[in-house]
Amino acid sequence: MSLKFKGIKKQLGNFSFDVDIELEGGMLISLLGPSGCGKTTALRIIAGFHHPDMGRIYLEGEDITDVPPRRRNIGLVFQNYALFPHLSAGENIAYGLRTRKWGRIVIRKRVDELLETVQLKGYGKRRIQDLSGGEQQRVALARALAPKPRLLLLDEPLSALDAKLRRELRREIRILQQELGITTIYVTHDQEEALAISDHVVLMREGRVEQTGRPEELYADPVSPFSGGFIGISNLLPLSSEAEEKRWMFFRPEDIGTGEGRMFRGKIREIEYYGSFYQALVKTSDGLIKVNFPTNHPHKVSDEITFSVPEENLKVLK
Amino acid sequence: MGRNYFTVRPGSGAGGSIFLLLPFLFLVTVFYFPLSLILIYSFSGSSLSRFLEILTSSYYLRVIGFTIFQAAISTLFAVFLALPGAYIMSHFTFPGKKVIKALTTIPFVLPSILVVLGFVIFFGNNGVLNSFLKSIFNLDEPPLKILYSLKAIILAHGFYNFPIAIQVISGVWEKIGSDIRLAAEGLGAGRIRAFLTITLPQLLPGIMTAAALIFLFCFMSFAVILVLGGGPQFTTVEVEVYRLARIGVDLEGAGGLAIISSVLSLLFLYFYLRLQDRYSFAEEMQLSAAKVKRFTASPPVVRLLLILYLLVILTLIIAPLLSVVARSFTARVRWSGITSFSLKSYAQVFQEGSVSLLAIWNSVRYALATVLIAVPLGSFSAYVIVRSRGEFVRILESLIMLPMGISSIILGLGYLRLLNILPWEIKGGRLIIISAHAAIAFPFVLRSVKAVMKKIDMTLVDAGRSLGATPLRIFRTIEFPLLKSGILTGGAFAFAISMGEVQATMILADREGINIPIAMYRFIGAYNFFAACALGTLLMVLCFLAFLMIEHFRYGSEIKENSRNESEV
Repeated sequence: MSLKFKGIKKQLGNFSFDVDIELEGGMLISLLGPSGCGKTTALRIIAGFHHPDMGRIYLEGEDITDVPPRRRNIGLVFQNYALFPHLSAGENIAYGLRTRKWGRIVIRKRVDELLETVQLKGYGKRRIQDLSGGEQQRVALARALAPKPRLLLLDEPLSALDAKLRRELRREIRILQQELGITTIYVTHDQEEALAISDHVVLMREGRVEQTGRPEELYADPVSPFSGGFIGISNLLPLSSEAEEKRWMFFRPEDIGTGEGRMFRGKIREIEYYGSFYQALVKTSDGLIKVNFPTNHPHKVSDEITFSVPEENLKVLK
Repeated sequence: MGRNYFTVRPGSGAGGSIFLLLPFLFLVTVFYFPLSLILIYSFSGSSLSRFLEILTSSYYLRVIGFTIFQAAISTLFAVFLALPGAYIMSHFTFPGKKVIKALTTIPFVLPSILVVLGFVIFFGNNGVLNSFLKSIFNLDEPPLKILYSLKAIILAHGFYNFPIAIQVISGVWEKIGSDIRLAAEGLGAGRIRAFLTITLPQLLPGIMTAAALIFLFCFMSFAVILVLGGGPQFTTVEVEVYRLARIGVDLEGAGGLAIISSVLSLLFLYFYLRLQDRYSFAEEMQLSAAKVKRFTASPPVVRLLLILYLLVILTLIIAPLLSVVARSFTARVRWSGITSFSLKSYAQVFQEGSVSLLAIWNSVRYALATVLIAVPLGSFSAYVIVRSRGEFVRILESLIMLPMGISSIILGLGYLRLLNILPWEIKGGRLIIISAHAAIAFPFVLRSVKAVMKKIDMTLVDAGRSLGATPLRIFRTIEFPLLKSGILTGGAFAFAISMGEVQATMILADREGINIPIAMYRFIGAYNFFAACALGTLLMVLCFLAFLMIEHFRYGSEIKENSRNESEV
């Protein structure tokens, strides 16, 4: 019960944000969703840049709704890092300590400590412009952590980096978070990233919470076609034609077998190679279905195949 | 109560317009009030008939016609002169390019009186060029007689303004990028066809923007016409307003003509601003579409020719200025006509109790006072304008920018009206001159600061807030250091503008109030070119310092631009 949105409502033009949720402390919580889902709004409300129209927000039991951003003691890493271009890496990290009137010597010690934490030892005097994207990201992280915040907010912190670096840094962030035990809100639109590093995922859609839970729960047990479709690779087949309430059959490509269960039959249209498995696109009478095969499978494009999905892997979503 | 924290920034919403009231009140006092006096006087009683008289007089209609004509020809000349340069600057990299690029800023800070003096010294009948040609070809008569003619006006306007065109057009050309042209050629278009159908349409907004700006400058040009035009045959509206007000002491007539002139120049300014909007939009489109790519591969002969062009053109700009400097260090030996090195003209200029010394002293005072007034007001307005939304702020901004479209002569005329109705006397007119200079410099400061201010990412402010900084601290430690380059650039512009200001000063200054350009004008009028050159050199040095400052800050500090959409939810 570390962070609590109590009946928070906020209207921004046509967009309405309406969230009521409690999040546990000490964890890494992802705010996940497509662009326009309200995750950045949630973050700005937590940081204090947006004041909710209605509702209260609590941090560690304290009502912080009316506390200005500068008194919230929340560390924030921006998508574009927002590093001060006229200050060195070290001065950037020291900024939040100076505003808190720390002593010169203590500040220097803390800056060195953080540079070491983010593996940038000796980079204190570097100009921001001379740092690579990954290094800038680390400085931004160190700057946010320097004043020992109660909560760490990360707004799409890795979206500007290339895929390989992104994987590396997300692991580092996760390790650092666990070492410090700091409650962390991680905003991302990348479901893979969210599943990989989170203790808890909050999936958002159109200003509302669609589903929350452990990554495993969200993957295995989606509550809606949106959840099922957004997280992981999935098959969503329209069920029947009841006009009022559309229902979908849901299962994962890896859930298929050859034994008991719902049977499908179709022709392979395309096969993609994923390294440890193949994924085929099969045209069936129910629609196009993604099916995973082990690398030693005998199928090729245009083959007619029959496969089954065990009943326990099948879900009906609406 | 708590909500205050979320609207602390000056300017969010309607609150912004309150902050703009102070600079606006300043402008009302130093700009709109004197200007409205012209209107009031021109449309009352006997003045109205004088106004109508001017409107229908064939003489003044001819003057208006000539003003537009010379501006149009000068603009065409400047743009054609600039096109090859713009091509070179946007397509090639070569040593010294940065310097040339910097030099294209010169027209913005170079006082027009210096251009005129350089022109006379270089192209005049006894000028450097003619002496050179005479000695080479053994001629008795000067081969080039261009002073005091339409040719002189157009050449001077062309040379003075074509760097503006190079700057604007090469900026657009650079961003068009070669990919899109190559794509057209890949689709089977020939080089010429690709240029006409792909490059030119994208270039056109840039060309039009440059042309509109140059046209406006030439329309409001004063010193060039006054000296190089040389008589009633080649006179423009601005010069006529000055003549009527100062020499003819016909304020009604001057006011009538001023109104006509202002209506026209505002029309051109509006046209220019509209074009600029489109041009910057086009620029953005191109920026997002293609990354800038420089292609340097080209036949060496072509490259050589192009670089030769740049050298010749730049020589034509710099040679007259260098001639001024050279001339200032010489003196005529007796009456033999031979010149030799001497500091005599400087001795004359700095002679105790001389008019020129008074002018120097005045110029420095005017310039410093202008900087002190225009820079804080302009910077503050820019800060509020960028941080504010809302229609009202936009209207205030247009009202602040309006002085750019009103010539200084006309502002000066307004002040003459003001002086007539003031119950007390203002000695030397200095205070009046300073406020005129500040009103003229104000929009330039605003523009310089605004350009930088717009680049400051709001997330930097948010970062400061989340790190515990108060609004004041954020301003002191983040915004101000980032704005400094814009503020100093604005200051340098204000300094240079005041230093070189001729029009308003000329119409307002009494014997005690003259500045360097007017002293120069008087020396030129008295054919004392040595002294004019000495003063000119001094003016050049002062403006060059301002220019260096502008360039230093343009390349010295680059603020990282971020393209993040602020309003993302």
